[in-house]
Amino acid sequence: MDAALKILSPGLMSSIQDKGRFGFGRFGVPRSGAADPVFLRLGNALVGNDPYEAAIEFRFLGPTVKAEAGSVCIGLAADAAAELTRAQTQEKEHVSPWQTVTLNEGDTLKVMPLSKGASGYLTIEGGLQLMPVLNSTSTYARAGIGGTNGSLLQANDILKLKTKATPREFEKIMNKAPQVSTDLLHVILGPQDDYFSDESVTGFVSNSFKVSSDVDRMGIRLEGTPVNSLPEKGNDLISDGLVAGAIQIPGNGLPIILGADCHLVGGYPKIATVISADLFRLGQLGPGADIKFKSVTLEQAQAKYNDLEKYIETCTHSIQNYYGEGAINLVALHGSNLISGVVDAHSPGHFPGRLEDT
Amino acid sequence: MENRFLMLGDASFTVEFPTLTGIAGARKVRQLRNRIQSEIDGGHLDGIIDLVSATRSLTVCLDPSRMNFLEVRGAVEKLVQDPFVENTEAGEIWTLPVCYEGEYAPDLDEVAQRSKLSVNEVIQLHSSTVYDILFIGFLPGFPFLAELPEILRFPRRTSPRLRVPAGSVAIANDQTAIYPWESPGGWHLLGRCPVPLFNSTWAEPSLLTPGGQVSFEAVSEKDFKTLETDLTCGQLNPTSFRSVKRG
Repeated sequence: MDAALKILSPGLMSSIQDKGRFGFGRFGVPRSGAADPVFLRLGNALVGNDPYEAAIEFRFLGPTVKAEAGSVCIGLAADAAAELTRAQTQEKEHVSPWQTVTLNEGDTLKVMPLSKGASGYLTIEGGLQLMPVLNSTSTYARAGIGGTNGSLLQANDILKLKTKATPREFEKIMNKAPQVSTDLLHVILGPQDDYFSDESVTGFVSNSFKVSSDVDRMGIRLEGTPVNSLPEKGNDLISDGLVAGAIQIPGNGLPIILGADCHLVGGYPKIATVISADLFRLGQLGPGADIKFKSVTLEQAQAKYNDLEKYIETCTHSIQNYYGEGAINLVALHGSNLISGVVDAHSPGHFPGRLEDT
Repeated sequence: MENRFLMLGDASFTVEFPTLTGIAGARKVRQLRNRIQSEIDGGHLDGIIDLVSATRSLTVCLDPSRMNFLEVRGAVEKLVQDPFVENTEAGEIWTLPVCYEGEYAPDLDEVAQRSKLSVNEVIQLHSSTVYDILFIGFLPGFPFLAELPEILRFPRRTSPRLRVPAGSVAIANDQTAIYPWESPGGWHLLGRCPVPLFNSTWAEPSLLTPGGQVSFEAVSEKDFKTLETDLTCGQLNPTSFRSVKRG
């Protein structure tokens, strides 16, 4: 019998996501994929999977899952702790963010609400048995494609694993868990920055905006000083192509940053587009967050892409064996720089591996 | 051909033909798309992960890890310079059933009033026009069809509906369309079409293909329900609404 995971409670807007569905623009199919692809990659690294293996994505509130058959090793890629309940003893164990936890048959894992950010992932060692639709298992619920049956995860859904968990003596933990700041997003101006006066563009990159309560995988609506288009241009253009990260300015002047599930074409002018290296930050933007935009060049955007890849590598290399809470692990302590401490002593706010914002 | 290249972040750009609209624009876009696709298929152009067609523009999406934005843009700039030929496409012709009655047609009366036509005249005009399939976009299988008769052209609703039912046949500006899925939407709803337009298990997941043509046939509510049932249970194949290929 295949190992399987059962969803006891789905959490909020939980869905199966992988890298996304590319190359089907001609059929009007959105790309979907993980809202935070960096967390997905790091979560898969924790359990030894391919970087973009499909995982459970949740928003703000994590799911409660049970090992329905066999044992299941889960990577907790989220700024959230979890509580493991052993079926045999009913003992409860604390699970830290960015560690793996192996559930034996019958054990349950309850993920706590996110302490920050907006998206988290449960990655599954060996991966889930899913039928790709148009080359991806990402859920796009509006058209009923991807995931288990085209819909968001529901209580009592059973997710079968490709393989059983390999027996292990210890879990893994990421000593340098990713630190994601969302207060600054780098953009390249355009494609329709010519719909706005120089003053409007300056206001857009110097004012601060607040994320409204209207946030989902399709887009993030902002509040703040409206960005007015030129009267002769208006806010209605002949629809053109959209990508995640494009920032639309509708008639009320309040920006909408498009997300992974966005439509492929749209008719509002786009003043700027978030660069590839910052797209993962969009997945961590929740209501009330303050953000600013900063305009960069193509070369700067590409340099930031390389920086991000190096940062992901640093986080990945910090994965170590975990001997349980309270156990002394000199290797891990050295790895997280708490003993040598040279860097920290000179710059208290600086943590090794933290990605600089500017 | 006048064109503009617009930055859409560090991994996508849009090629726009700013002087073109409607059918002429979509045909140019399709030719450019085919050129780029054959370069990709021939192994001459790497790193393109998607192409998105719109009425008068084509968006080229790249894999950011390849770092070849300028190279690809340069190659596409060359392809745009090649002369475009007159349309010689032989697309499919479809006649799709539409029920223009009751709850299926919430904006029909208003459109009739605004165009100073009778409801029957609106139905007659909308259904008998032969529309070009410009491109598929917005939602899976969603066809942008043009051109709508001049007298039926109105801007989008000022306040979009939060919920447009699947199958809704709608108009806005010079275009008409069918919503394959329930979705928010700002177009005026004239009727309902029972034919499914997208299925991920079909060899070509979108029923309609750009370059083809569509007209509509008015059906009663009773016939609509019968067609819907037959299509749902597989007694009727969606391709049965396709007539011979244009030659």
